[in-house]
Amino acid sequence: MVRLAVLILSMAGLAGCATAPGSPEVTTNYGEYRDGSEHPAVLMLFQQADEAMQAGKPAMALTYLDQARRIEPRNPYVLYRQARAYAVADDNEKARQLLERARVFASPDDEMINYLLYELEFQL
Amino acid sequence: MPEKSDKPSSKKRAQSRSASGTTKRAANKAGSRTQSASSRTKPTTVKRGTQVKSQPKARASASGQFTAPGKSVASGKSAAAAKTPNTKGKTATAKTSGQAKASGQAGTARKSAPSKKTANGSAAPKKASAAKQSAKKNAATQASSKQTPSKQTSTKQTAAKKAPAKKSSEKKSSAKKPAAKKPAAKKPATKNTGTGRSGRWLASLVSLTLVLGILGGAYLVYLDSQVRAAFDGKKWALPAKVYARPLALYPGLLLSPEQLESELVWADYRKVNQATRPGTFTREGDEWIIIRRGFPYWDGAEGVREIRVRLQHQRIETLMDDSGQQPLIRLEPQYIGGIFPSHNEDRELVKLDQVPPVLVAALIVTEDQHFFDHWGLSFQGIARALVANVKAGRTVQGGSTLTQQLVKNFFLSNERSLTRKAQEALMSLLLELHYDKEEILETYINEVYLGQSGRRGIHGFGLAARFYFGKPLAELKTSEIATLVGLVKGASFYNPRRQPERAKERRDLILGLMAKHNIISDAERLRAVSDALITASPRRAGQREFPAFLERAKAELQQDYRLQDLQTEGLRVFTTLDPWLQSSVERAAEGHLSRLERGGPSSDSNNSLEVAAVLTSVDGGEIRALLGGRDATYFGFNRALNAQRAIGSLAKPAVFLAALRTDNYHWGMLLDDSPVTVTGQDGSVWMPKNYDGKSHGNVAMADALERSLNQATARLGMTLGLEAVIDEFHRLGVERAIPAYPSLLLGAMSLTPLEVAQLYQTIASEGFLMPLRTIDAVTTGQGEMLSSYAIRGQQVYDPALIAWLRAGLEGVVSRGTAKGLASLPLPLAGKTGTSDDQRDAWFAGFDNRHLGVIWVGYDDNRPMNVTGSSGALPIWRDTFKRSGVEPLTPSRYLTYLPVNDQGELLEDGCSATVYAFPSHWQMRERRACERGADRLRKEIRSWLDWLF
Repeated sequence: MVRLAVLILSMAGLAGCATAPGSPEVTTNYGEYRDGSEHPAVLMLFQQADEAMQAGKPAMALTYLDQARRIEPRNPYVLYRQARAYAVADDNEKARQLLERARVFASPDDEMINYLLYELEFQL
Repeated sequence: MPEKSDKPSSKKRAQSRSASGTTKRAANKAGSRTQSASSRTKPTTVKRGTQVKSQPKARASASGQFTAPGKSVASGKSAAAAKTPNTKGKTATAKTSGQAKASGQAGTARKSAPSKKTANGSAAPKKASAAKQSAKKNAATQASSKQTPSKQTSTKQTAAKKAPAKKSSEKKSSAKKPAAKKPAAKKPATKNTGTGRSGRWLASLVSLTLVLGILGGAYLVYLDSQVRAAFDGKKWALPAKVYARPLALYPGLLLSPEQLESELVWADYRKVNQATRPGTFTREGDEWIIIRRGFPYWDGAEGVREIRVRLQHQRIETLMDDSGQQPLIRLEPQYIGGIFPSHNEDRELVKLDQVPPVLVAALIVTEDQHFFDHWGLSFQGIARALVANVKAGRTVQGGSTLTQQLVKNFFLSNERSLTRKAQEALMSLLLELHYDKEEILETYINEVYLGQSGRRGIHGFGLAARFYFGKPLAELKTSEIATLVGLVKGASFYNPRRQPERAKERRDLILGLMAKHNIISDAERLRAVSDALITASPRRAGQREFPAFLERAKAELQQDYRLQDLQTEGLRVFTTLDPWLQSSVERAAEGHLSRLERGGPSSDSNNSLEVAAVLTSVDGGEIRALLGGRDATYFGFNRALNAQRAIGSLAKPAVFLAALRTDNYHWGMLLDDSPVTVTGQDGSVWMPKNYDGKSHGNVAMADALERSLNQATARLGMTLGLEAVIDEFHRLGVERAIPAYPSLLLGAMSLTPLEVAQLYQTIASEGFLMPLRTIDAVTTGQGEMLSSYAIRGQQVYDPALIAWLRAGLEGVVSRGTAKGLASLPLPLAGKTGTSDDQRDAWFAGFDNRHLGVIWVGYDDNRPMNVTGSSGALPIWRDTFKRSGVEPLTPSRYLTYLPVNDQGELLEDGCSATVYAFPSHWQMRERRACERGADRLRKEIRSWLDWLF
C-alpha cells in the first residue's frame, strides 16, 4: 500500500514537471537560448547564428552553425540548433534528420537537450 | 541541394560582373557622355592634303590613379604617392586624393583655363572632370614637345600635365596655312568643266567615292558596334575561383607548427623577422605573429588583422589580436584552382586605383609614352618603329599604342596582315572615341597576357603578381613591378623563371627608363637593380591546382549551377579541401610507392604503381583530400572517382554487420573456418581459401575479422544469405547494383575508392549516411552568398549496432591485419583488403576526425607483390601520422562482457576473454563463472588437441 502511494506521488510529480505537447509554453525562444557549449569559439558562432536567425537569415545561420559543428561535431546542441534553423527555413525533412542525429549524441542524463529535441520534434 | 542565400536577389545563376564592372563603367560612361556633350569639339576638316585634326577629346575621369611619363597622376583612394617623370629630370610629386576624380596639373601655366585650376575631391564632378581633361592634355603636350616643365602641386593631388591649348593652337595654325592656298589650287580643276568626257569621269569618280564612302561608313558602324558591345558588356569570361577551406584557429585546435607554417606559406605569406605588413608572419619559439590579409568570406568580408598565436603540445593554447583573447579567427583560404572556359584564361581583376602608380607609370614609359596624347594611334611611334626596323633590317620595334595592343588582344587575332592592322587602327580610334583613357588603361592592365601555368593562361597584372611573386599587386617591390612590365613585350621570352638572365636584363632596362623619367630616383633604381630576380615557385601550393578534387567539386557544382556560369561569372567557390591533409597524403603516397618499387620488379613510367585516396571528415562527410593518381597535378584519369576495382576484404565488415544485426551473433561467438564449397545454380563451384592457405577450425568471430579469414567469413555470409549482405551494402551507401554471387562476400565486386569511402563513412559516423561533399558555399565575385551546404544525412543505423561493428574493426588495428598502425595512438578502426592475385591493395580506416581510404594497384590490373597491409596501409599511416591522429573515443552504447571459449556469455567478473556488446546484452541469460578445475581440464584438452 505504501509502495503504491509512493508510486502515485512520483507519477504525479513527474506529470507536473512535464509540459503538455502542443501547449504554447513549449515554444522556447531560440534567440535567448545560449547554452550548449563551453567552447568560446562555439559560443561565438552560436551568437552569430542567433543574430542571423533574428535577422531572418536561416541559411546564414546554418553556415555559422556548421562551423560550430566542425569544432564540436558531436555536440547535440549544435545539431539541435541546425535542425531548428532548417525548420525555420521550412526544410522539415532535414530538420528531422538532424534531430535524429542529435539524439545519437544526446546524453540521457541531459534533460535540457532531451527536452529541446522533444519540443522540436513535436513542432515539426 | 544547397541552402539558398537569404537575400531575395540570390539566384543560382550568378549575376556577377567584372571588377571594373557595371557600376564603374556606368559612372565613367556617364562622365564621358557629359563631357563629350559639353567640351568635345568637332574635328576641323582641312582640305587638300592637310591632315584631319580634331580638338583634344574630352575624357571623363575614372577613379583610378596613374602616373604617366611627364604627366598626370589621377586620383584614387590610395594615399600612395608617386613621382611623375618629366623630360628635364624634375620631379613632380603626385599624391592621390580621397574622393577626387579630377586631378590637378603641373607644369607651366597653359592657355587652357582649367589647366591652371587645382581640382580637388569636393569639386563638382563635371567641372573636376573637365579640369582633368584639360590638365591631362597639357601634360601630354609638354612631354611630347620636350618643353621645360615646371612643378605645381595641388592640395591633394598633383600631376604633371601638358597644356593642350598650346599644342592645339600649333596644330591649328599649321593646318590653316595650307588651307589658305586652296583657292589657287582649285582653279585648274574648273578649267575642264564643260567637257562631257571629263564630266562623266568626274561623275563616276564622285559616285565611286560616294559608294566607297557609304561602304566605309557601314564598315565603321559595324566595327563601332563591335567595340561598344565588348566594352559595354562584360569584358571577360571570369572563371570560378575555387578555394580550400579557411583554416579556423581557436584555442584547443590540434595544430602542429609545421602545419601552421605550411598553410601560411601556401597562402603566400612570407616569414619575416618582424611582421608588419599584411601577408607576413614571424615565429619566435611557440609564439607566432601573423598579419592576416583581408578576405571576402562567404559569410562576410573580414579585414586585415594582427593575430598572435601560442602553440603548446601541438595545440593552440592562446589566440589573440589587438583587442585581447579571441575565440575564433580564420586565415584566408588557399586558392586551389579555377573552372575555366575553353580558352583557359585566368585573371584577377583589379581596379585602376588598386594598381601601384609606379606600375602604371612604368608601363606607359615602356610601352606607350604618348598614351595620354594620342587618339589610339601614334604616328610618331609608328615612324620611330619604322626607322628602327628599316635600320635593323627586321622587325625590332613595334609602333603599336597601348590602345592598339588592347584592341589586338581583345578583338583580333595575331594575324600579321595589312587588313588586320587597318582594322586594329580603326577600332583603336573608335575605342578612344567612346571610352576614357583610364578605362582603356584599366582594361589593358587586366587583359594583357603575362604567362602560362600549365593549361592556365595568366592574364593581367593582378594575377601575374600572385603567380610570379605570391603577393597582391599592392605589395610588389619596384624591381618586381619592373619585371612584370618587362613581360608585356614577351611573356615567354622574358619569363623570369625560365629565362632569368634575359628577364633581369629587361627588368634593369625598365628600371633605367623609370629612373630616366623620374618615376623612381636613381638611388631607388640602384637598389632595385641589385635585387635578385626571385620569383615564387610556380609549383607551390598557392598556385598549383588540385585536379582530382576540382573534378569532384565541379561535378557537384553542376548539380546546382550551369557550367557556363561557373566558367564565366567569376564566382567564388569555398570547398572542404584541407590542404594539410592533401599534402600529407600526396607525400605519403609518393614516398611509399617509391619504396615499394625500389624493392620490387622494375617498372617504367608508363606502367608504374598507381594510387588513389579519399579522405573525409568522420562527422561531416566533407571530402578533405582526394588523390586521383600518383601525379597529383595531372588532369587526367581520376582513379579516386572512376577506377572500379575489386575491394577484396574491405567487404567483410558488411558481412559481419549483417550477422550482428540479427542479434544472434556476437564477437565472441565461434565460427567454423574449415574449407567451404559453394556450388552455383549453373554448376560453378566456389572454394575460397584463406590467405595463408590453412584452415583454422573454430575461431571467435572477432578473430575471423581481425585475421580476415575467408573461409569463416564465406560460411557466415552463406548462412546469413546473400540478400542480407547485399542489403547491408546498400544501407551503408553503395548505390550501384550488386549481383548476388557468393564471391561478393569476399569483395569480388568492384567499387571506386569514392564508393568505398561512402560505405566506410557510414560506419565511421555511427550510422549516419551522408552524401560525401566538397562544397561549403558559393558566392558571387562581389561576395554575395548564393548557396551554402551544411551537414545533411540520414541516421540509417542504430548507433549501438555500428559501435559494435566498430569494436571489431578496432581489433583489426590492435591485433589483426592492420596492426601496422599500432605505433599510432590507439584505438583506431580499419580494415585491410587485397583482391585475388594481389591485383588491388586497399586500406580503409578512421580515427576520431578523419576517414581515409587508400587504393594501390596497376592500371592494367596485373598482380602485385603487395597486400592491403603492405601496400595501402603504410600510406594511411604516414598520412595520419603527419596530419595528426586523434584516437577514437569510447562509445557510450557498448558494454564489455566475458565470453568463454565456447562463445558463451559469462556473468560479470568471470575470468575470460572480454568482448564488446550493446548494452541490452547485459540482460541476456549468462552462464556462471567456470571453476578452476573445469578451466584446467579444458586447457589440458586444448593442449592435447594442439599436440595431436
